[in-house]
Amino acid sequence: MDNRTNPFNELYVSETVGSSAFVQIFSPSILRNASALFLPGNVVLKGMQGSGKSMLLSLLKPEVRLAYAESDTPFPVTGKQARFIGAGINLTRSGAIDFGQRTLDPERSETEILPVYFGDFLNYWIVFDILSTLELFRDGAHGVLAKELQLRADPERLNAFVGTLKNSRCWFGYLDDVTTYEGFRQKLTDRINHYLEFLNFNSDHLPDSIRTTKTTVGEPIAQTATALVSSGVLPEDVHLFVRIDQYEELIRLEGRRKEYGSLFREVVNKALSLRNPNVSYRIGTRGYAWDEHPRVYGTVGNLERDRNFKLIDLDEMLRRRENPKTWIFPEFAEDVFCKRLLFAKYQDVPKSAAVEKVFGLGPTPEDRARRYCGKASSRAVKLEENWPPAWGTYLLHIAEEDPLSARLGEAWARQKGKGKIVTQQPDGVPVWNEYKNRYWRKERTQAALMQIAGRCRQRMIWAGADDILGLSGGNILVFVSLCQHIWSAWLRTIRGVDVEYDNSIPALDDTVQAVGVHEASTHWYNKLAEESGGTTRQRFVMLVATDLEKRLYNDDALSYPGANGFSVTLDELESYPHLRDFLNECVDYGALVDAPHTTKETNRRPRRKWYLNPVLSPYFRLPHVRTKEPAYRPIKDLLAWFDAAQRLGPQPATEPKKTVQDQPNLFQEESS
Amino acid sequence: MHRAPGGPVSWVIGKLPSRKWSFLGCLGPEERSLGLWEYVRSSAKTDKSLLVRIRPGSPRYSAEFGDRIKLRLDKLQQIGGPSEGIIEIDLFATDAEIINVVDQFASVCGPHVMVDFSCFPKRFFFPFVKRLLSQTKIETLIATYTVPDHYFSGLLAEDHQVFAHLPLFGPAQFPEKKVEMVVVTAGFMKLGLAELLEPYKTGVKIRTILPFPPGLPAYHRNWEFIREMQNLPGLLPPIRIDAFDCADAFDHLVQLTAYGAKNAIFAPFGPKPLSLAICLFATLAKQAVFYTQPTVYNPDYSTGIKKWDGEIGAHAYVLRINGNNMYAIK
Repeated sequence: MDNRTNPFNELYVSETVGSSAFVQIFSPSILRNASALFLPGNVVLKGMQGSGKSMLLSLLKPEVRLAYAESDTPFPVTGKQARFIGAGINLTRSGAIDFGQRTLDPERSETEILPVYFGDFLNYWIVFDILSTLELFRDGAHGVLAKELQLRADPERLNAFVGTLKNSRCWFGYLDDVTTYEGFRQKLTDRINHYLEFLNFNSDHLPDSIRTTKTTVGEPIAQTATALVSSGVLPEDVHLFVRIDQYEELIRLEGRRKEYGSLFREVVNKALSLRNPNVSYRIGTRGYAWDEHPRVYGTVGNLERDRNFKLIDLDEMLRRRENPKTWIFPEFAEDVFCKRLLFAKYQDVPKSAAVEKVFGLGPTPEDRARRYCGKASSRAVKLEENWPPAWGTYLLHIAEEDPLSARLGEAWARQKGKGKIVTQQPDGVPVWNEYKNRYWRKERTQAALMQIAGRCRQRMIWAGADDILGLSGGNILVFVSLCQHIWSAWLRTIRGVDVEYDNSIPALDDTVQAVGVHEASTHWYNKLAEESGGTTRQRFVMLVATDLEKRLYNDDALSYPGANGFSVTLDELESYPHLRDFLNECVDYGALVDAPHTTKETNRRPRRKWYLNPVLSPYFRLPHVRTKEPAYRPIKDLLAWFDAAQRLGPQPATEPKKTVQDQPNLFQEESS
Repeated sequence: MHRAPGGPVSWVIGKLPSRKWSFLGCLGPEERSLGLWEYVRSSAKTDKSLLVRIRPGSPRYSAEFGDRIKLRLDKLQQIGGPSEGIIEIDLFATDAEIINVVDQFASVCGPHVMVDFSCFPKRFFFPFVKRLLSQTKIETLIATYTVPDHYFSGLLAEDHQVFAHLPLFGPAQFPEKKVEMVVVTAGFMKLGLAELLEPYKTGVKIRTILPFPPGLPAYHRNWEFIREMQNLPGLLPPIRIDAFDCADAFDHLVQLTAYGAKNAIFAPFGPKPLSLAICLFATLAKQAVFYTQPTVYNPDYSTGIKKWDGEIGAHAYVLRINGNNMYAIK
């Protein structure tokens, strides 16, 4: 094997990786905490992009299940939990969100009839997909899956299933003339094609056969599941999971269809509100996108958590806790890391601590400070003119050996009530290095390092397993992306070196890691604008980060070392719903991370705090470690950032003067 | 291989004498938006005409847009307005509203039609061209594109929507055939391209079309666009096509898809004349075209109008002459 392959080139392990590759690189370690996904009952899987929700939902896809069977790899879900079949719809790709693009019935209000047609389209699409899954399981992998699930999809039973199903009142007579399974399948196909023809303006009207037989969302799906069981095609204990993909995009519809988007969500919510023992729905969504519209179509009620659905919050699950022992992400990342290395045919991949073996522990804070200073250790400290010369000499002397300690000493002298130290230099261990002040020191180390790097005009170093995991912020996509960029930086360093037969895993140098981390951070910053509606979010992040960096850098006394984040009171925020929604969107799209914030103020008003997504920290030269209190900011600061983010950008006020070109171009000018 | 007629507007119009042109164009903030209208109007060969003014999808740059539109309206005063006036429509109008505009124009236009797509967003000019091609009463149809002096060097568009098919270019058949190829024309901005390509990363060939010529400075931006796709497993080497050669691009699409037999989807991020080729091909092959529509366009997207030997620097693509379509798959 040529060691020059990057095992992390393919970032996503969901629908983007072929089913057979999925089998080899899927990490089951996250399943332990998401078992509800494979149990009956509706489930909403929340998480920002890259949290692993698509990867988990992929396990419900028949193609992936089949790939496991075909490759003889045990399916990661076993026992009763594995007794399911999956079907689904992607609202964008299916064309479902095109409802509302043209008037369905000029005689009636759109908001009255659109949800009904939308629901009808969903019903037929999903029922068709259920049939496709059955056929795939029946015909694929030499019938192994059909045998395992005890499916009996022979023509007689399928015809019997259709015979039972067509009589259900839910179809309003649309299937009356159907006699065979093939006829049923064709009837579904015809109906969906009629819809597509109409939505593409290839026909002027929907046929009367559709207009008079609109179904209620969820009903035909439930009836199909029941008929499959009663006709013996599916055993009673095999459950049907229905995925609804791209649900969250319904809130991003623009123009007049914005209103329709909300209605369509209500329709999907209605399907979730129907309880059927054989069918459950699965929805993957970004965090806040789910919370915004819980209403159920046609009712005044809302969906209720634990009654109508179970919630799996991946961001919450994978977030770092104060007690590191409860943090499950490192184990997940370790498993993903090892699987990628094995898939790329690296040898000697250790059974544990592979991440640490490759990335090491990273330099200590003291070493980092020394590297930033190089030979000019005096740059680590900034002396005040009114300080006694002996204190300056003392700090500079410390800086020669330990610039971090010297910088902390400088801060100690600047802090309120500690200034007298400038006249009482310690003989032994400096007071800020004493055991009793370990927390004071720990809380300020990152900010101090950031300032030393700045004073020395050096780029901050991020390297070592802890840094890589910390920058990942509990997001597996970010972790893989960091690994990808670091690996890529390493591969550049070994160009020209003969490694053709060397397939052992490397131990990567800190400097190589630092380069890769900066590249990954820049990539993630640029990527912000590539997400839907992302340009404004990118500008907002730039404004916030620049402000935080400036303040933190200028905090010579290190009084606010936690100011790499900001916090506002909830009551203030609620007065500005557009700002609140925008911040929620920033979190959903991975620009910021948020958490409740226990206030230290006497008024006890509840607050919320936000930090940059950790992977963006290197780009903005901000420490990613959260320590102490974030900056308490008035709401007007946030409004100012938001306002500027919407306005900023190229603003040529007048049209540039035309230039006279004496020399013609070799080629014609470009166009767009 | 066939060559559909096309060339500088003045040359093409000269080859189609004694015709009065019905004109459909866009009144936008760019100076070039009125270039063709001024040219046609000055030739006194105009029949029915309509200008479409597209209201921005975001309040951002509203003052700048207002200023630029005022300049264009002042210019229009000098040139003279279109016979059917100016229709205003939202950038995010529904498909039906967009179709209604072109149908309204089609109901009054004469037999010789010129559609100027220089400043129309794709969600307008794709359905416009498709709809006009479906009109048998139109005997001559030409699409025109005015070349500006300069493009803005920074962000041209921002805050795109999630990927969606363009109006009238959605999936037309159920169950959909397996997608075998994605064709992407390289442009300056790849807003949402990663998201669009996500489902097509495996088992699907991704073919990029690199506009060349022109060379610099666009070349750098186009290569950067392609470079960022380099890790996609199905990515094939780019095909270089002249940014203004709609016919050549069309021929390549025909070849790439084996005369439309292979199911492909298209992502037109590149120069508009190449997008026109995609529009024509997808119309004929009944294939889907996806795009991530920006919410905001820079008010100074382009400035000025190119001049060629003192004449307007504009290309004309002949889509139909004497009732015969110039572009066909077989």
